[in-house]
Amino acid sequence: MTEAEGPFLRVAGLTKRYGEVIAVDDLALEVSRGEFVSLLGPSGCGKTTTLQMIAGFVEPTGGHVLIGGRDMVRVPPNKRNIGIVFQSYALFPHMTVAENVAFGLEMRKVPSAERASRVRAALEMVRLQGLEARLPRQLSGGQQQRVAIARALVVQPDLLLLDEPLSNLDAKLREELRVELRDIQRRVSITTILVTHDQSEALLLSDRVAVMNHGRLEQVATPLDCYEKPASAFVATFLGRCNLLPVARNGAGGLQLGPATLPVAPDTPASGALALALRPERISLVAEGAGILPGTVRAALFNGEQWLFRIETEAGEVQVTRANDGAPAAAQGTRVGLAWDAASARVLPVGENGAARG
Amino acid sequence: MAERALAVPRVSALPYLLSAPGLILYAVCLVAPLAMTALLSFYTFTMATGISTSMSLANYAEILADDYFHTIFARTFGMALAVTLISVLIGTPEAWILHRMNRRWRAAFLLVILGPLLIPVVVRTLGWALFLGRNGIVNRTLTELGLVTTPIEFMYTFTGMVVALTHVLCPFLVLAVWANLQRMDPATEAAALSLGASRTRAVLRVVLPQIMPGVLSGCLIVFTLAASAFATPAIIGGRRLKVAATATYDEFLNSQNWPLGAAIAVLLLVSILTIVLVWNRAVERRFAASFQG
Amino acid sequence: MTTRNGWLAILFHTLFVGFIVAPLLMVVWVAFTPEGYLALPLTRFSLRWFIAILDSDFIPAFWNSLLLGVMSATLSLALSVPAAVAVVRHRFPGRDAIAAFFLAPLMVPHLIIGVSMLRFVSVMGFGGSWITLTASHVLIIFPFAFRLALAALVGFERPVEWAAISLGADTRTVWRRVTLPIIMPGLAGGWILAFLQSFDELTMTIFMATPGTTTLPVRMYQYLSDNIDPLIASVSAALIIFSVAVMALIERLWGLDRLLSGKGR
Repeated sequence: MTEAEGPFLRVAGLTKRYGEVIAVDDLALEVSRGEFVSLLGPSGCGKTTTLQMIAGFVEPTGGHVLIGGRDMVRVPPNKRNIGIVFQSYALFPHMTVAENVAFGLEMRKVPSAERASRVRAALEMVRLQGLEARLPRQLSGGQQQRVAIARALVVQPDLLLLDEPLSNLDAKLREELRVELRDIQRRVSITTILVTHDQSEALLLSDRVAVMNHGRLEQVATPLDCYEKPASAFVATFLGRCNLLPVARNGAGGLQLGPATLPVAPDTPASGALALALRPERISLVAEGAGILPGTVRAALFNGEQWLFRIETEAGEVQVTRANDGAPAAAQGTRVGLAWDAASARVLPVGENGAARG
Repeated sequence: MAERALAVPRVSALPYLLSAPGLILYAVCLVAPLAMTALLSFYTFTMATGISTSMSLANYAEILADDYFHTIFARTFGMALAVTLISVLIGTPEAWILHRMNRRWRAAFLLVILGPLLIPVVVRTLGWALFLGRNGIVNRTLTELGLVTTPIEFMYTFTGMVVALTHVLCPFLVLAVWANLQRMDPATEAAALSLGASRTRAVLRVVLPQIMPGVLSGCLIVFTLAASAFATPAIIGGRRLKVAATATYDEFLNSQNWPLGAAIAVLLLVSILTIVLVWNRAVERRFAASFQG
Repeated sequence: MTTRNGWLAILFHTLFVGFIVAPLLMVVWVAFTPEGYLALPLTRFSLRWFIAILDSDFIPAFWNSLLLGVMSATLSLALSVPAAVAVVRHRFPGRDAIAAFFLAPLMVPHLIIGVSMLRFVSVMGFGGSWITLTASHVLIIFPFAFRLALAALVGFERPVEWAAISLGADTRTVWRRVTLPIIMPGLAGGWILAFLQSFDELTMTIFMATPGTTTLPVRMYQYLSDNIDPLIASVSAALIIFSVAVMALIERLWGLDRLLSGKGR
């Protein structure tokens, strides 16, 4: 394939409607060659439908999917040269590990000698040498998912799609396989789209994260930017924990937060309901009278690594976390002040879609 | 970028093509024959001229007026009702007992109880004929023990038919209740007990309502099969105790009065389907009420 | 013997199992009589009447039943799998009605199907033949094959097919290499159940069978109508033993209760 200018995968105006329901709404996304992008969102946000439209299993109501400059919408899914790994592994239960991995090569009429060596190399890559003759049901969940990864990659696809690939595994295994997945992806430098509802998975693995909600993209940015500069209240609360405190422009050209007045940042939206997004770990507790917002400690919860405070203020309840340094924490009922760095706070519009999450 | 024309969900011919072979078979072997039989039931028959295609309600009038047929239909549905009742009364507790057994015994006895469903009905009925006949083991034992002097007649009796048919059909009820019990969450019974219910109350108030759908569908299966059963009533009841099925058989293959036989068959089918519909409606209403709240 | 059943329950259970098993054991027991008539209790055992089966006309009837069962089970599977694919994999107007219609023969007594087929055959002038007999058997066993095919397809995970497609397989290859091998155990269960239904069928067949197409249950019924003797007992005993063997096979491969309640595997 000749190297086209611009992005390797281009999704434009992609829309899927089921009757009155809009599953995916005018979605646009560009992914460069070798990039790892996550589609992150709650269940029902349209991320899986998007993946299936890219793969060709769901016919879009409208829009385009271009891979290497070629429009794929009319190309049948078995001719798209895309590798897919499913949440349920989707291994062929009646075939051995080697037969599973060889299947795609067989479909491509790869001669058997080459087939054998490529299967061997693929199984080596996922560290499953020696298990060639096993049936999928004789493997653990983690091993099964490695087979699925090998099976998808052995055909050297143009694009790798991962549909919640780690959700069926237990927490420890998930973390292990995450690192491995990232390594493999880097090594074969394959353009990859991961669909997940797990924010830490998306942050850990991706070059960029595309946050989806109600069929629309809320933000596409690097993991750090998504976390630090959320484009919407939804992104702020879906990625990590975040306080959303209602603020309003006051007559004096400032922002009113309870009793406190804050300066208006240049990127503050001009109209509509606003909220101040403030991460719990960016707030520090100071002495009563100091800081920006006064409050009372309602609860101090300890989990070993850190303290979680629930502070009652005139602007509503605020959650504050503090790393445990061994010192005792402010007790319930203590009056305190809340302080934060202006750079850590963002003012976001709150629409009906951006309803605050706790 | 301009949006592609909206793909209107189109109706594909494929599912119809896939169903077509089966539908054709059904049209030829079920719908057409049933229609012909319904038509046949309005024809007339005389010994001299055979079947004539003049239409009348004479066959139905004959069945509805003749005590002979009243007895046959009363016997048919009386038998079906008795078989259903006995099956429920013994099959439901048996399914419950099986459910409470440990795995190995349960698997073994499930085989023993459901296995006979694979054995031809003629064979199972023969067992009862051997058991209950004049020289059967029951009578022989009773005679030898001096309990009776003349053999008790089970063959050609209503009781004999009910007993043998219950034996044939009861496994269906056990199967239906068993399948239902397997879907039940065993913790619900434990929860009822922990809330202070007695064992009996826990079963009556918590278990029974949950397995009711299985019991009711099992009843329906047993009833419809019993009402249209042929082999067992024919062997045990013989010519003396005719039911609708054996009467139909005789009209068709012995008297050659096909129109009358067709009318009996149509009446049997209509009454069974009516009972099924009314039953389903009643069950749906009851369960809709108790599950909606 | 049981974990949680009281003695009353065990007594009830014993009586119930006795009720189910006794008549069958009875048949097997009397079949071993050496006498020319049915007599109990047996003092001596003999295989005389089992050997007598070989020269009787039950043997051709058995072959007829076997052939009929194999043909109609195979045909019913061949027709019901595409229908089940349509119902499970497609959304189309009339889908629910078609699915319900395919199960309808369960609601129509075999007696009435038999009467109707007899009428149909005589009106169309077909006469009794293998074709009409097989067609009617395919009809009555169709719902069983259909139900098991439905269960096999419903339990099938679509991503497995999608994986094969994404690896480059076309529709036919996916069916041949992936879908069919995976649903095969369920379909085989449907075949067995359909075969047994056909093999045991009496009520409908008795209206259709001609001297050339007499099946085993029909022959046994005719024989029983005339007399009850050791020969019919030995034929029945042989059938019981045959059924127990089939039952053991089914239990091993699918689980009898699951197969009978239409769940496949």
